[in-house]
Amino acid sequence: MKALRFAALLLPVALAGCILSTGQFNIDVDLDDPISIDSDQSYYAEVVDMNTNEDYVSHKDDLVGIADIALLGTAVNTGPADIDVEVWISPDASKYSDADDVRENAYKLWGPFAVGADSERRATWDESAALFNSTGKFVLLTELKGDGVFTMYALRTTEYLDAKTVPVAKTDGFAELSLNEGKLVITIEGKD
Amino acid sequence: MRLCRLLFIVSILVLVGAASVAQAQDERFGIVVHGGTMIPVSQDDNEESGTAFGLRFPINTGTFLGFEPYIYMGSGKEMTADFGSGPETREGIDLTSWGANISLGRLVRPGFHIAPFVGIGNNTLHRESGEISKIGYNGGLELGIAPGKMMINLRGEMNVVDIGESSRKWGLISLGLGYRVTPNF
Repeated sequence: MKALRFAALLLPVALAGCILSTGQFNIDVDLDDPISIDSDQSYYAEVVDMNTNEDYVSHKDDLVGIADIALLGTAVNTGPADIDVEVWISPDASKYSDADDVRENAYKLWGPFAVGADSERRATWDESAALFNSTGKFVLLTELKGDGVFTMYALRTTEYLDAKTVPVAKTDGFAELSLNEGKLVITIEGKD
Repeated sequence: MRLCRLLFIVSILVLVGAASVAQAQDERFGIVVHGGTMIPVSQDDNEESGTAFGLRFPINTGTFLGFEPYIYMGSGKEMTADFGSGPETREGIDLTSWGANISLGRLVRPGFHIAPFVGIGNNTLHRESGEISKIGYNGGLELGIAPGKMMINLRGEMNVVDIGESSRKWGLISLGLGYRVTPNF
């Protein structure tokens, strides 16, 4: 009976101890600063190599999922129309030729994030975490479990009225966009 | 998580084994209101301690094995982190948990007691960006005294919510105030 009591006292401690190695760990990735899309560009592409990130390297082997993810920074729209910012992802280091090519072949990761004409807007952690797309998140997780190299694309979408006053989505040559102090914060799930 | 599940099952077996050799006691039950702090463990996106309040219903089984349905609600607190471009805030995770514990030693008894316990329950984790409900496992230790019909207990426990291949974990420290009931049957 004494042995059983002793075991019963120790087991919760062991139970607590074994699970301390699992959990949620933040990995923050510095993006190019600033990310700029001029009026004559249709997108901005950045190849991200996670293998240069110490936090990622230390958790890569026990990574099992993404618990939370956010794109932080301040989006500045210097154009005359409201704009939606989107981020797309492709699972390698190749770059597509234009925004239409990106939309056709890559995967939407984040957005839309609306920024008013001639104004700036900060993407907060809470707000940004709700804008992630599950398909893009899956691609990101696959890459994090794989070689850790992928390409992120910043795109803008602007609706304007054409000559027939029909709203048309326009993705280039209209407004200038920049994202300052951009950070990708990925909270990964680690296992024991 | 597989190791944790195994330890949980072993804990249950040890408690049941202990109960089988224990002497029978009068049946009694109680009701305990408790409150305390809920401390996230290894959660970089949910670091701040919150508060938790709930009810427990300890029941003597006539053996050394105690049985205790419970429910509690925890409120996560907003956290702040700086990733290099100024402070960023993230809302905490609210936790609602209900289930049952099995203890080694009666939780309803006169005098002083120390009782280890393990339990299993349903846990709902809520954030504005989403909500999930998952099975969780808990274990800990209760220190209690019972002056008269009252019960006062201090409890430390760990709650591990199984979210797939990983887990979300909280430590809970709570103070409970209860009342012992001896039915006339």
